[in-house]
Amino acid sequence: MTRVILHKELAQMLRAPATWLVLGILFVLLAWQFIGRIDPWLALQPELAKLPAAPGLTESLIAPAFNATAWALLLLGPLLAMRLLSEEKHQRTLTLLTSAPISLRHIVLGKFFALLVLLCAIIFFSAMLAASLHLGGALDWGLIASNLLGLLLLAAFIAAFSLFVSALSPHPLMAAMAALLLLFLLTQLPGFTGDSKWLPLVSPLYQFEPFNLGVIDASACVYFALLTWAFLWLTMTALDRAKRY
Amino acid sequence: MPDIVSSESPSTPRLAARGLTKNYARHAAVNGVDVQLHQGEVLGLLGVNGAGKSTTLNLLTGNLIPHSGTVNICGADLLRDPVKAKKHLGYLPEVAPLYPDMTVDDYLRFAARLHGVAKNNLLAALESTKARCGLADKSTTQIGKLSKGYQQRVGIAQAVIHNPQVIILDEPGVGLDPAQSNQMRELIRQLAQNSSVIFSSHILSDIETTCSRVAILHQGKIVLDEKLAGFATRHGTSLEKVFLRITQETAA
Repeated sequence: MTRVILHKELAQMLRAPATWLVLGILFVLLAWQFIGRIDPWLALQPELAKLPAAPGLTESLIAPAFNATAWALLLLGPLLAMRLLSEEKHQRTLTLLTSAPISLRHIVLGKFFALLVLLCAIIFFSAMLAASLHLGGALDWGLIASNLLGLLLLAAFIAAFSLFVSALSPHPLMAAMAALLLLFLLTQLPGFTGDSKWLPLVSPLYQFEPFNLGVIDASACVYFALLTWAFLWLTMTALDRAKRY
Repeated sequence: MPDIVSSESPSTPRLAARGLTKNYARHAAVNGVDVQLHQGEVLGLLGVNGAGKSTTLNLLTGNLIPHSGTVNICGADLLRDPVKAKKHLGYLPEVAPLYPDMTVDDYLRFAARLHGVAKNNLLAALESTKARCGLADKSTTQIGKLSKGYQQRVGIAQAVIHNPQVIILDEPGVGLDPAQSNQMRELIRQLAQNSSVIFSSHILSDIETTCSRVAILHQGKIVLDEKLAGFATRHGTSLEKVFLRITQETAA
């Protein structure tokens, strides 16, 4: 049943011109900033080559590019998620799903995976950009793999979080704005708190950093998995509570 | 009046609700409502606006959880085993749950899969439902571009595509012109051949021409529940008079 929902959501999102517009803009921006890094790097190349442990192609170009992908995910998640529950509430179509012989778990998971698939399109596009550098030199595939894993975990968290905010409001735009604002605040927390030890821990981008540097951090994996699970559970709870009041 | 239901109903009802109560803030929107629906019956739920009709139907379909009371659909408890109970249920809410960007075919196919219609039965269910609901020539039309009457038909089609035993329609006649209303009544009579139907309305003629039984809901309580056959003889007056008396008595 999760698949029935997943198919419907994907088809609906791909039918909407807005989805293609947002995806297209993000693709262009990502490609642009990626290409923009290549020239300065080539100009610095003679200097860099003199260093004993010069940073490689992957470190200097691909890691920052993947960092930009992480930002693109933060932007895209809330915008796509507003359709998934908030608009269903607004159009009062959610009743079709909640009257059918299908549990809330399947509804939420179907929508979550549909969103994750679209977020993975951005990750895939970034991976293609990175792989294109293979034409010009040797790549550190380990670093690329750790980045992709990190992005996937980050995308899962963003999808679950945005879906939860989408479940709270029957106003799609409000849901998208609230999710964007909250995610942005979470990413800025380390900057606000200076030396605080625990506040950076709630920042998703802070948790993504080790992956970006090529380290597969087990505690960060657990962090993303737990938060994703928690927000999916909260989404189901929010939908269930709506029936009780 | 059409004779839809046999005078003898089987002993186990298709749908049985007992003591349904739902409170909003401090007042009870629905207060101790009992509903029974037997095979082949068309039950009209009659009430003025705000009487609690939609709340009752939302409780019967699991879209609201009651503060107390039970709902049993074809032997399955709606609160304890909602997935099993909802298999026997088709529901058209007050606002038809339609996706304007989908075509009629895509939408009905999705509704069928959602209600557990097997893949190899899908095409047959789709075609027969479209034929029944008069949608055969609208297969590839986007729902958003259909007229209100056709949209309402799509709403009914999604509720019946899986041949449920119990069909619940919340004010299916709202916003329809007289010709469309007639077609709607005809469709409900057809549906009653295989299923039991509950529909709510505040239009007396809809109830009188379509239903075998009427329940009047007033201020969250069922104040009258009986067969329509012989109604005038038993009460010595029409359903309309009885309805007006009930609703005006308490208003005064």
